[in-house]
Amino acid sequence: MRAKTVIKQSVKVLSLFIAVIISACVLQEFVLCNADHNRERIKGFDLENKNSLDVVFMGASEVYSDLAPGYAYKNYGYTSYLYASQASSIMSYKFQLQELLKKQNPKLIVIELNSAVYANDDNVTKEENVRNYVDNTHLSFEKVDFVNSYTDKNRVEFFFPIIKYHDAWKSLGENMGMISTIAANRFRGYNYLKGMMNQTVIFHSSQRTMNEFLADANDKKPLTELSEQKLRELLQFCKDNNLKNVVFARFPHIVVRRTYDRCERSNMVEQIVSEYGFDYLNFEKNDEGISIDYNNDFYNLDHFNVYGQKKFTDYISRYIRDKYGVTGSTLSDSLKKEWETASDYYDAYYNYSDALIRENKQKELDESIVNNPEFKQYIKES
Amino acid sequence: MKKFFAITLAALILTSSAALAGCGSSGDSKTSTTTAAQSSEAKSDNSSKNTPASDGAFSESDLVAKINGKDIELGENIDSALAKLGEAKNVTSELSCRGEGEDKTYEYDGFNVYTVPFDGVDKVTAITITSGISTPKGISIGDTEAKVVEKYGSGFKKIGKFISYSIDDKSLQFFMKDDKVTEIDYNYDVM
Repeated sequence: MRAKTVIKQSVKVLSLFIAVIISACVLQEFVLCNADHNRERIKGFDLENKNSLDVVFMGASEVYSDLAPGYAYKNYGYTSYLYASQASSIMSYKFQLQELLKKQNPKLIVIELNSAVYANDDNVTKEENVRNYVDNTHLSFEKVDFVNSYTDKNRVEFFFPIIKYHDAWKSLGENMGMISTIAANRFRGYNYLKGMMNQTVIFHSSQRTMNEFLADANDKKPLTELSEQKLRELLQFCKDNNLKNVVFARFPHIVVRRTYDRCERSNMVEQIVSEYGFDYLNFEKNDEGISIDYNNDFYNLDHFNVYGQKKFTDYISRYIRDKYGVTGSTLSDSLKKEWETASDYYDAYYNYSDALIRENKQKELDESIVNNPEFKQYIKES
Repeated sequence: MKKFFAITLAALILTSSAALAGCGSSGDSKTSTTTAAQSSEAKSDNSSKNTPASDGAFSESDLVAKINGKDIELGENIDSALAKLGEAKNVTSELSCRGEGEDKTYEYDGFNVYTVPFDGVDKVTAITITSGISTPKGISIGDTEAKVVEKYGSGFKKIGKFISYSIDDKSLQFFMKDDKVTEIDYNYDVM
């Protein structure tokens, strides 16, 4: 009788303990977290069917503003995802690539390396930049390794982000749009925009642009010591794992005097990348085939608006098809349907953005826009 | 089944309470963790740093613009610069390329001032002069390359049509057209 009571009590305590853990996990996953566009994008990548992507683009904001997977699928047939976070740091690229390879084995992985050409280490080591990616990944041995190499303080906050974001409930109201978007994606099993985010602006540089000089600009400026170290670690990882499907890239930017030095550091990146036997596709320097209108196609110095995004997606799609033979794969009916839907949402996204730009209404458009009634009017089902 | 729901509900309340309980003590959750990398790389030894021209003609003092008799430095807080320059004719902004905040352009007659946010503080990262203002060494729009070299020395680099003098991450450039200075730029490489 006594043993029975002890067992009963133990079961109760264990049940409570398990329920607490489950509740904490649910809260950490959906509520007590930094529910922003980075989280939506990284979590969205995890939702993609295993080994279903033909191409994965990895990097910082250039990646999610400059490319349109829905458009690429419709016009070139390949499936792709923008596995990127804002101001991402070269510090975490090896870890990010490890995570990518757990889920996908694409025909091509294009890693944009703007994060290696920062002028100083502020952006490289800045915790917020690192967290934009790392906080949205699951606990794993690779994550533990990364965090241990990155910091010796507050490591537990990286492993259990609920500790850091425990007071996120205070901004629950303002984050509710993104929280519900992330939850809806999880329920649906995929996101619509495949990581895309853009601004409805046409940027006009008031500083003289230097893009016309770049083709002949071959001087090299060294990277910061830390950036070079992390870049070399990434390249060595690719080499050690015999990753034949990885190429590195620099996407186009409006170059003015105050951003020109990045071009010389990019030339240095090209040299380092080639030392390890990988390709470096410098689309900033070799932009002649993209037909960029530098007065119309950007929303700021570093990012295409939807007009430039479409041109660059066209260009890079043809480029990787011709150079690396990347074409679409045969998809199951359900995946085909998913990608056709993504393509419809891209069309809506483009048309809505175009309308806002014409009306001179500046807006940041990420996945949460799909719940906007105004946006919904642009969606045409396949 | 009822017990299971009761336990789950209790757990949810407990977890939420535990989460909320930490709020008062921890203050701002945005901690400023110093990373291992930061401690060893607080100041990166960027070997790209240039040295002043060997003839000594170009020095750090040449990287300070003098506008309407006031010194404006690269890296200066915009509030301080605005106090000297007065109100701009026009201010434009766009989402910053550094992540949070906005890059801004302050337009004046004959020159523009550009800022970039650093942890919430806008700092001057570029000044472009297009008319009416000379450098402290007397170079103004319309001067020749020979005069620029005479004043600032031969330790320059040509980038396209720019003649560029730099020290560390700051530089002074002259945009040349038909052997005439058509624009003078002070720039701080922070991107």
